[in-house]
Amino acid sequence: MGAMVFDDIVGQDQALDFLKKVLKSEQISHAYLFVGPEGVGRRKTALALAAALNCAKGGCGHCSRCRRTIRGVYPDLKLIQPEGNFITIEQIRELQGSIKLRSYEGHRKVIIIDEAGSMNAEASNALLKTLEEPQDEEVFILIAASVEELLPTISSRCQVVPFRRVPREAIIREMVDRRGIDQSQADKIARISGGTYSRALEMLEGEGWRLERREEILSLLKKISGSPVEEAFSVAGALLSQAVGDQDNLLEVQKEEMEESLEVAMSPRHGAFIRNKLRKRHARQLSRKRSLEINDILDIISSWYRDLLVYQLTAQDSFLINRDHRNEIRDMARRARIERLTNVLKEIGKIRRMVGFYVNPGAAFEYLCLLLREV
Amino acid sequence: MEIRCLKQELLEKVHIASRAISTKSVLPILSGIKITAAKTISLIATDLEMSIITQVNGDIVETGETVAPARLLVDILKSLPGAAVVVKVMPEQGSVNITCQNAEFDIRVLSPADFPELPQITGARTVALKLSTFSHLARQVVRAASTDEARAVLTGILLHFQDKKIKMVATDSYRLAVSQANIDSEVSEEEVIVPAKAITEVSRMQPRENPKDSEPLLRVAFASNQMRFDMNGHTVITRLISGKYPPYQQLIPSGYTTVIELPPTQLEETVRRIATLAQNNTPVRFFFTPNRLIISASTREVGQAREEVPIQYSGEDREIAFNPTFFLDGLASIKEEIVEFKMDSALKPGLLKPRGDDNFLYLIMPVRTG
Ligand SMILES: [Zn+2]
Repeated sequence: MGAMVFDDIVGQDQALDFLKKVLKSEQISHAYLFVGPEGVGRRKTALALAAALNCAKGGCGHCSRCRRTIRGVYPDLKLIQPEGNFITIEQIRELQGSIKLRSYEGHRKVIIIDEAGSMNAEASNALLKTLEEPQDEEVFILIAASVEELLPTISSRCQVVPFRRVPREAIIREMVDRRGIDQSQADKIARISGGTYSRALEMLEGEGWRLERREEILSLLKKISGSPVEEAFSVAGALLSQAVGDQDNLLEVQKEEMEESLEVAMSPRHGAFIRNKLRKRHARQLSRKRSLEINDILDIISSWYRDLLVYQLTAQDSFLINRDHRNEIRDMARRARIERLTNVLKEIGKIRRMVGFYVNPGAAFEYLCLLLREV
Repeated sequence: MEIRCLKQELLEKVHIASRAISTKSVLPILSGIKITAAKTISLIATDLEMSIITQVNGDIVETGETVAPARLLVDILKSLPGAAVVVKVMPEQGSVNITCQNAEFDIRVLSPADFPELPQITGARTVALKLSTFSHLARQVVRAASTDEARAVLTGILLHFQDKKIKMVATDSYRLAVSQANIDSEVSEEEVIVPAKAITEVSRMQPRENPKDSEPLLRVAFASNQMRFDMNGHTVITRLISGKYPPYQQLIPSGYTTVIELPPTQLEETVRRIATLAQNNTPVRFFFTPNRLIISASTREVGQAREEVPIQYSGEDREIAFNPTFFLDGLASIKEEIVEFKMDSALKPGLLKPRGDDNFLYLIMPVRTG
């Protein structure tokens, strides 16, 4: 039947239907732009599309080409991600140096540019040159949160494929049918996941530590209202350690990768090159992980105050994200003031935008907890 | 896998294979050399652009394969005495064991499953020619290729086969080198752009047998995306460069008003002397006046240099200036007795070629001087 590689992607029927049609028609564009929120399957779909473009059976998912593509080790697949905060001109030059060559295996060359919005101006302009002179065998897949993140001259050369938040029912169905999760747990996870299937899956990882963490954070939030200042600071400290506490695994993996790579370096100069490259990549992985964790914690906090607000307005618990805590929500919603709730949600939005770049997360959590005291 | 061979033989072949390894990679597997023992013993290395496969003379005790880190392999082999070496894979330990007389090493290996598969060049067209012909052309043009990655097509060498002829072209847009030669076999027309690195690597191939024997042939096979060069158990496979080569013929002027002839060594020595002053590629000027060529350079910081060369010339006074490095590169490719140096005006490209031989030409853009 073909295109089996897409079977694992949940709740993106429109995008997948479109891509399958493209594959069938063989009218392949030189560039696609996958836009949508983090965690809804854009990266996974990009790899699946890359596999389908080169698989003799249109993406069977089993042949050597499909498997190597999905693992990211196919020689004609290039994956570019930010090094540091940006995708730099050096990365685009390196790409140009490698795609000047005809394909290794005689099929298409697929270039995936993840977080394409993080290309700085120089990098964008360099990429534009490459997009302006497309070679027959090249297919670019850019991934971004929105079309506006890119230069109009770049986005106008791409076929835009929107990715949406996954409907709650679709996540529940996947959890129950494929993962054997019971209905009420699946409902709880689907509500928390905010329409991103990868978040839902994360909830199941590591014996559900994320679910436990959520419980801890919610219990902190339940008692912060009206508490003394010292208490607010101690909650902020607890939130911060939740955000940065889980790096040991990653650090261990990175250390191993560094050692293994340096061991086989061809010369001291090659060693210096590897060290420099990997250091940048590792720093990026760490800061990315940290910002994902901070965002995850902010999601939990904002879901709580959003629920209070929703309950005040509707007095119904079917719309609640944290429906499993509906009794407390009912109680607290009665006492909270609407202006304070909307203000908290607005401030969380602000913190979220700033925390990736300039703001020290510790200070951000302290500021937030002082506000939460007053709700 | 277990093989036995002479240390010197293995070291030499490991050196050759290592030349395919890039120091611009962070993937550990690409710093490895794959050793396979099947019908023969081969060493394989690749940077995904160019792959080198080379056969090792030796005995196969047990067939199999492994991937060993190249640098470690070189270091160990260098340290061993000149005697027989046994290389044996220890699958349980994930290592390879190297013994030579009383010395023994155990080194951790990389996973052969992670090693890239070599491209298959199937249904390929082929041609055979003398290696010396190929190497001669390569040496004449390769320096003119661009090193600027932003101009991808120019980083390659245009390789053209047609009517019992092979032609190579390289340009970085400041100079253009074109060289051709006759070959014995009839070929269908092929035109490809080959990375300069691979052309250089092939021209370094050594005939394994006694060079006094009839010269073995270099076999060339073309696929749409890759090409392959084979000679005497030594193989280079390279990806081709995509894109269209610029129409370089249009750049070559059809006639010149000023033509002088002189021994290339004399011209080279003079330009080299004058260029010692011309740091940072300050242009060197060539002033043509009856019976004299005056070569000079001047810089504000260092001073001036000037030398006269007697020539046979009876035309008008003319002047042109070139980047000395580019000029010397072109001269170095001419080994014949007399070089023809042609120019027209200060703004048109100059040309160097051997007298009475149209198989090589070197075109060089002039530099404007104040
Ligand atoms: Zn497949």
